Amino acid sequence: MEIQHIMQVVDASFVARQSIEKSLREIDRRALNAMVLVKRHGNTLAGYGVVAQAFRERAANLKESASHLQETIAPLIQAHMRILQHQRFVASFSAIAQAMAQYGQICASLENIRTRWRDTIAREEVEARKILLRLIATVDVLQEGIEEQEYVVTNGRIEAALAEDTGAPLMRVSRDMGEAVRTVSNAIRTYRHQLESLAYESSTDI
Amino acid sequence: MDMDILQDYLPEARELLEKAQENTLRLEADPGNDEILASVFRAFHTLKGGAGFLEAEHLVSWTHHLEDLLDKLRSHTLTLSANMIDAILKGLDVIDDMLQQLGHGDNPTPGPRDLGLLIQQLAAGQAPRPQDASAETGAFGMDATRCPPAEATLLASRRTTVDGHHGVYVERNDTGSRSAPDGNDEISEAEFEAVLDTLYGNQAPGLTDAPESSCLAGDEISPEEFERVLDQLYGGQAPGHAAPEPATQAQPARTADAPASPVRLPIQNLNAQAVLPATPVPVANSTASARAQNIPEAADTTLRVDALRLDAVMNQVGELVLLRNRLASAVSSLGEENEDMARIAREVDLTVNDLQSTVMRLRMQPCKRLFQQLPRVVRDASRQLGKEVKLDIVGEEVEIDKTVVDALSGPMTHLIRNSLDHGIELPEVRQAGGKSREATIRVAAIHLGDKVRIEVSDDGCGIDRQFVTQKAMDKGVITQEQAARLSEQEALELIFRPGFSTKDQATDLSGRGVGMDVVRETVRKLRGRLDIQTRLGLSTSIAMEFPLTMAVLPVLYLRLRREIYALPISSIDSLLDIQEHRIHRMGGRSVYRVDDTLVTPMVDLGALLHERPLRLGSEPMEGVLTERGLFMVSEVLGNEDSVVKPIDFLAERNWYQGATISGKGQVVLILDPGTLIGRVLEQATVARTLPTQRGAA
Repeated sequence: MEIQHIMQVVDASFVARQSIEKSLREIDRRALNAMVLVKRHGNTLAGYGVVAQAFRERAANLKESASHLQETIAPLIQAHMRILQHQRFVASFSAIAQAMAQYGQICASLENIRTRWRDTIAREEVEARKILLRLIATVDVLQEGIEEQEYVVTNGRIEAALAEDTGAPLMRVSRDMGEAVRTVSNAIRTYRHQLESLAYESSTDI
Repeated sequence: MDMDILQDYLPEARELLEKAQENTLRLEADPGNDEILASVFRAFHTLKGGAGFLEAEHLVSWTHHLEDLLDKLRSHTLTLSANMIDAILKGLDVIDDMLQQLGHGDNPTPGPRDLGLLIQQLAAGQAPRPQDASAETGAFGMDATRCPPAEATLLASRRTTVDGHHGVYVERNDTGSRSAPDGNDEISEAEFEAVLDTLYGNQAPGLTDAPESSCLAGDEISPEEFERVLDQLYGGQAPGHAAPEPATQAQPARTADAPASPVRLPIQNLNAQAVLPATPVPVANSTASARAQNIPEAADTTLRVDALRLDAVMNQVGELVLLRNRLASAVSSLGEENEDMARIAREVDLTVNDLQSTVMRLRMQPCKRLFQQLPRVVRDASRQLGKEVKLDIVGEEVEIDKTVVDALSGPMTHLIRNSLDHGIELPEVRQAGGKSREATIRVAAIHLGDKVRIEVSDDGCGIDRQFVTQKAMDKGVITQEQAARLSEQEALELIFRPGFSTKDQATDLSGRGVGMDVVRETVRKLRGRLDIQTRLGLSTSIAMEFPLTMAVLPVLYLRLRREIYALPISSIDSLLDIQEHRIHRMGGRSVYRVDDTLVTPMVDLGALLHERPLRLGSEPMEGVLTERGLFMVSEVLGNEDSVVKPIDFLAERNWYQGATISGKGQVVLILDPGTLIGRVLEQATVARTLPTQRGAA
């Protein structure tokens, strides 16, 4: 794995985290807006109130999931940095072995150390892959949460249509909610693609 | 005085009084309506009966005279005149005062002697004294004394009624309409007075103030008799009377046989009508019978409860709401670990919501209670001012919290009087301006989600902003610099400033600069919103919006750095993400461009409450858009139904509506958005004025 590739993942993680946080804040604000609207209309929009409440609760769950995402990114980066470091060691030992070979000298213990570092790197890569898969699983949870949110938004649209005669701008609120969910969904999907590329294209196994 | 009877009597008496006033005003428009006459008569009759139990002699005496007058009107012995309507309405005011005295536990003092005499004179068919005679021409051109002695005859005879009571019957025969059966029976009015003197000495009703001792003796009725009267009125379902007496149902039918026109003056018991109605109420039969059929159901389902008990229940529900919030907060912090707890919390939430809305409905009262005084106010003030005004009332059935209804009575009167005095033009002026002579004042109650909007509008001359601003400067309410920078709306709102009036001389209707200030303060205390719209020369509309209930206040919690505050949800439009490119400076004020159509003042709560502005970019910041401005806060946390606790220890003018306890158990101050915006605008105006003054110096 190259350092550039790691940096790309770091950048993608940062952007994704920013985007998800911002979108989740937006989702929370939309949900609160909906709840304010419902409260201002008394009991007539009670049905939509349940939807808005569910929307907000799920937004809070998404926030919680997103925080787990951040918890997993750091170990992944750390693992890959360590692999890079250890690859550098192996490269150094290889360079020393080549230099000695020029002088017709062979150091068995050096080769032994190099082999041990390669084994270590292989183990670390397995570990890093586990972390990456865990991260992808976390992203999967986020995506599931987003799908649930989309389901809530659809319910909200139905409730909004039913309460159309109240004159409350529920369709607009539902549309705003939908847009906020779509934004976070896109951010997560993009991030997942980047993680998958890391998992399946940059592995030393390939 | 029996306090138990008093507690039952007072609310019923007030209802009767309100109904009587409403009906008296209806009579003015429809003087020939016997049903209304009978209804007013019955009101006085019932008032008198109850007052007798309480030994409120003067109230008994007063209601007796009014009842006497109504009895004669009802039996067509006298004809209704505008003067009589005036006297009845004034008499109602006196009874109202007496009821208030009773409410304070005092025995009512005698009513005004002049008015008492006038009512007695009117009841006796005599012309009022000269000073009253000028007012005798009624709206419908009738005269209470239209039968002078020369044109009418009075026949007096002593008879026994069907129920065995003795009474003197005096019949009036109009010469033009009916000839007397025997010329020897014709007596002059003086002779009639002499007959009365013979019968009563100096105690005849209509001659003197009712003497306490004799009147009391005459008016005293036994509890059994009073119960019978109530049974007649309520069909055996009188409040507080559990066991109906079947025999009482026959009473009205029996009295229906009594002669309709004679004026009955019972000898032994002046108040015999209290036991048995002297004359039947034929015109009210349809209503009365319909009511009699409905009353048993109504009585079974209606219960009169002391308002204090309701308040206590509401307070307890308020505490329950706070506990519910705390439970919900505690359970949510458990996460998904305990599904059972979460389910229980949700069910508690639903149950408390139901309980809260049920108890809330207990306190709701129709706006009719608030509006019913207005026809009288319009009538009296329009007469006094010589203006022709029609009052339209819309939405009487809209319900609102009892606190609002109680508190708005005064402000509504102020608004109507103000409209009459300042807004409505004289008929000639209106005509000259191409308007109808008769102006219209419209009072409307409209249900808007969690609010009720009460509007008072008129089609008068509107408000001249420049004139208002000039007056405000003349009276020292604002300076010239401040006036120069006022927006149109701000100029209009000057009319709500204390001490402001466009009149130089105060009258008994307006001019002291108090009324509109009272309106504004009352609206503020009721957590309402005041809005004024005017079109010069055409109309003015003042609208007040109040929360549907005062008991529970939905709030939005927000964080300002480390502190948490609350804003009433009723004042919030939406929540925004603050974007720097939308912030502008305009006229020395920070404004926010919400979209292409809305630019609103910004209120930095950090600057206002912490004296340290929030810094966009380096601190988290969110916007709460209200009807009058955008509040900048650190973070919006969430909403909750809260119970407001007053904070009496703060200065009268502060920017808090009260305090509440959040679901996490924290005491949170509830901000008053109107006051905060006002303060920001004031500060901006001062800040702009100071450099100008420095420059001038």
